[in-house]
Amino acid sequence: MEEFAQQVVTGVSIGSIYAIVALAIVLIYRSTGIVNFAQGEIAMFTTFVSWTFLLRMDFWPALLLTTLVAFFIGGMLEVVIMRPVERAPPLNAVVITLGLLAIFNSLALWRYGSLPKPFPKPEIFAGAPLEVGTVTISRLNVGILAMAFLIMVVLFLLFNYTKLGLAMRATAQNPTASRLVGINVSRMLALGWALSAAVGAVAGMLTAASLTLSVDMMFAILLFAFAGAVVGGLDSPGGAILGGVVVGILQALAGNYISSQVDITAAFAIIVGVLLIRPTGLFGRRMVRRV
Amino acid sequence: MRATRRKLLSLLLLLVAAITLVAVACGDDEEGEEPTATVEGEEPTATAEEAGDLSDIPEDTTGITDTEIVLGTHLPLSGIAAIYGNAIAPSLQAYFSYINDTEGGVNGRKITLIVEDDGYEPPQANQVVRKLVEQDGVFAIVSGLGTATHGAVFEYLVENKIPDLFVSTGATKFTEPVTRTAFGYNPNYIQEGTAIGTYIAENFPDAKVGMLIQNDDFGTDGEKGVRVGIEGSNVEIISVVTYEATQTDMTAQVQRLQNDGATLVVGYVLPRQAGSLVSVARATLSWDVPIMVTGVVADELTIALAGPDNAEGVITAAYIRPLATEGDAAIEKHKEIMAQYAPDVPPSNVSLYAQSLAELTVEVLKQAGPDLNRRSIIEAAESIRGFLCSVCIAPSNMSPTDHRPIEAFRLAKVEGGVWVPFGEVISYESTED
Amino acid sequence: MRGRLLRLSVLAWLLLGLTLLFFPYFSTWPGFAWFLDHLAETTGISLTPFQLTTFAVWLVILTGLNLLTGYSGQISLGHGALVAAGAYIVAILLDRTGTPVAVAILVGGLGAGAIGFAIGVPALRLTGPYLAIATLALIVSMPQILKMDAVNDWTGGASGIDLPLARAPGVIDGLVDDRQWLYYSVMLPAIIMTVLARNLTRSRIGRAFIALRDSEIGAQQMGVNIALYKTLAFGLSALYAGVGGGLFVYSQDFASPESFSVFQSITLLVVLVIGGLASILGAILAAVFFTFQTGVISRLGEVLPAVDRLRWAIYGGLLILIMIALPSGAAGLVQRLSLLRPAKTLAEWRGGGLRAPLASLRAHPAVERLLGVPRERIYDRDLPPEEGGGRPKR
Repeated sequence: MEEFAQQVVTGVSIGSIYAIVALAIVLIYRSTGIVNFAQGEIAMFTTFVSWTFLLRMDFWPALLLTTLVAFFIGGMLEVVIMRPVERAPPLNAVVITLGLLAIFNSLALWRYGSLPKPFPKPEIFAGAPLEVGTVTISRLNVGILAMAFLIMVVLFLLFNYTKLGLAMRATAQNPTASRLVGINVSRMLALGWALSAAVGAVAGMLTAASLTLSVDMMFAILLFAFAGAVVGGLDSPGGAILGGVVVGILQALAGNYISSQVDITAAFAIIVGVLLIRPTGLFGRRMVRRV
Repeated sequence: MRATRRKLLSLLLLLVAAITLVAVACGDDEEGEEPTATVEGEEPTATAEEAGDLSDIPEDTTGITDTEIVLGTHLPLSGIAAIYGNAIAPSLQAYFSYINDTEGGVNGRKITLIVEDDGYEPPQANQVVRKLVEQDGVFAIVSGLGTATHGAVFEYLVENKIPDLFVSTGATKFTEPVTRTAFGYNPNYIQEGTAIGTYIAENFPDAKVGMLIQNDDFGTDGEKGVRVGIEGSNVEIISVVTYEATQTDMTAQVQRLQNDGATLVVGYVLPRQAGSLVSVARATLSWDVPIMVTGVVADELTIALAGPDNAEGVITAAYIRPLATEGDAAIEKHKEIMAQYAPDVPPSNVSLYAQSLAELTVEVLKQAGPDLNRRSIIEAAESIRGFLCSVCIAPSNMSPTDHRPIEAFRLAKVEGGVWVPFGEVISYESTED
Repeated sequence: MRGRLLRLSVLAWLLLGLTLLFFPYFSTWPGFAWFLDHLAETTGISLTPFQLTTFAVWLVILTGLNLLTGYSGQISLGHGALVAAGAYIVAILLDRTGTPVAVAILVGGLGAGAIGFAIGVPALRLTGPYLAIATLALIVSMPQILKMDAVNDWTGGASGIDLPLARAPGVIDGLVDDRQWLYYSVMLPAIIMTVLARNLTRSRIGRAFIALRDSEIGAQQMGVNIALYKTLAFGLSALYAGVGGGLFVYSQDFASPESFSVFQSITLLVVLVIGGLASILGAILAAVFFTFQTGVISRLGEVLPAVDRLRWAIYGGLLILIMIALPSGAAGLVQRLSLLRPAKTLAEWRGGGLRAPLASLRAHPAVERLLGVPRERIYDRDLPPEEGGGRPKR
């Protein structure tokens, strides 16, 4: 039992990173209907930007500044690159985000090199791990989960209680009708990308603090984050966090109780199983095909 | 009408397909005999019986002119193992350029190295190596990196009798059994594991070892080696946990080792996972367990990734003198060469490794003499005895039955944030001098 | 008129077919060899028999993926897993038993096809990104499954399976050498399977695929059995993947878990979209891209050392440009350029071919801002609506 509890907690700490990346994926899907494969690489790139900030300032101001930079980059990407394919088939959008993935990966490799770099942890997340009974968890992972929740709450308030948020939701659900009632649809889509990139930037910095900073740090994580987002339901922020954590726990438990040789396989088998029972994830709404 | 015609066409095609398939089927029954290599001119040299029979390796001079030797290599410059390729390729180039500039190359021929990116993907390696051989016309392949990627091209190189010098992996399958044209470089992981296992048996006689290994030959060879090393002692391996090369967060794995009651951890891991292993054990779990890692990660990078405080006391088995060795003239020289010819690449234990490999290559080319061809280079490589490269710990020896130059180690420990060698040189040399 | 067109296009295909048929012999002719060398040196496209063999392998695989994604509209991000299934079945048969290569490849195709059919059934429940992630799970789990202790003895675990190089059979010794033999034994099945796929897409099955891709409800009303045809698409596509995998392992003489990466699977889908979905020509162009892109990209790095380390960024930029200018892929452009039909005038050629992509590039907000709104944009009626024509100024 004690071992089980420890493995669950370990799973939660692995999953905390998936959760926060999944949140960024969901944010873009929810506001634009696109699955953004470049999410991880954009986050990685902004994390390298934050690394240059960190040479001059503390963690928190750097985080704030990076979020702003990412917000700007995300918005620009929508305006410059995604806008012309708004009405294109979904696969074209997928290819474009993969093109962005290549661009950001290459830019980071060119600018910052392929060597992994140690990344500072914020003060309050450093220090001895927390102990609850016999179970230990690092402060950083608790912090990452807390940040994910905080972001989720802010997003919840934004989407449900502000005019802007409601307009964004309306845009995603029915762009034509939204345009008719006077919503600037293009601006809303750009805002969706900007917000998602900003959340991604936070995710990137916390990931780097936990696993060191490198150009390829997000690739494997992105796959699991996708799995988390899908399990939770692609249009549910709360579901994304839960999904990410569930994927982490599944991986840890499968590694411990089945075999570490099949931990990924077992985790994915369960994820696909969940999808077969609930084809749009645990909290996803049934998709309505846009005509 | 049209539909019928299409059906007929389909049927016709199926027929053709069937005939082709039968033809292919028949083809396979007969094992095609070895193509008789047309050896240009001379008879096999007199040393043949001494060095084993090399007569079926042609005295081919592809890639060699009076002024140039063209070599080729395949390395990952992109993909998950890009860290290695991006450090090794420019370091090899740097040393060859240095030799070209200071000594005018080897026997008047300048060395040109063509580097191809295989992205650490076997099909890609297959494409680029065929390009190197068939289009660029390289004389030999040097320092092909990666067990899987080199595995994809190994057969091709052997069949075409292309010298395959100093494969950058410790996997045993390229050198055991010995193939005349192929030579390894890294000491094999079984020997390295044995050295680590022996050290554990001598210094931690009651240890319960937990192993964290990569889920491939690198990991399992390491595990085999440690088992050989601890044989006959009280030490036992109580837990072996694996990870995939794409996983970088080792929290769950290290947790598992702790739960299983390990009192000493051995890691057959890559730098990222080594960093995670050490920092999770020390910082996340506050677990003060002795940690030993493979020589593959005996690099500054690992210390930086783990955090210098966490890494203190980690032990490895090295075969190249660490970059941090104080007052070492050869290492200072290496730093100079790198600063001049590869200023973008910071010197590291990996760049030292690359230089040691380049030094051996140059030595073999020198030994082969002015009459350089694909047979004489193999002959020269097999006759290397006691060659001590400027940054190595022990001399390199090869023979017709031993295609692994390095078979000796010295343990090293992280002290004050750098690797410091200690103890005697442990040798498993199989070539009698 | 129609008859003449047909004959001309047949002639073009025939010419291509003949070139491919005799390529291994052409490639050593002095003039042609000089051309090929030059092509390789300047563009990085190295047209060696082996490269064309590789092209043929990916042609089979991409044609299969096209049946699934292009025609029946189901996205698979894990197609490499089915390729791996075929490749491993063939490799194990060749490694362990004396099965003739052709039989082994057939078994590999059927085996992978059966697996695909089995995957198709649960996949019925999933659509869009959910299906994409479920198929991605296949390829992500692939390495671990291949390395499991239970199958380790068969698959060779992480070291994979080494096969001897493909050899020409003794009976035709002297006629073809090993390299030429490999070329023919891969190229011929590839061409045949491509033609079969072409016929299939014009048959009842192909029309059913397209109908259910465009509208499931509509297809149902037309009497198409959705479940049957969706799983059939999976099965057929997997059959192609399996045969492709078999040819892959026969030509590469090696299979290991690393031979089938996640990245490779995703790239397959990318090149297919770039080549052109739901078009045989699209799959052919996709296979061309897939085979030659790395060569061209690294050549680019050599020509312009300044951008050497940014070459993948340029690649990404190209993907984006192509998607903006050619929403229906390169095949769409080729069809518009009417390469198979001589244009009467240069103006017709330009009007039919290049105008639309240029217009959609020009219609890009960033370009537009730079150049100002073009006059023609206001009444650009001669372009189809999806290419930006006929749409009033925003």
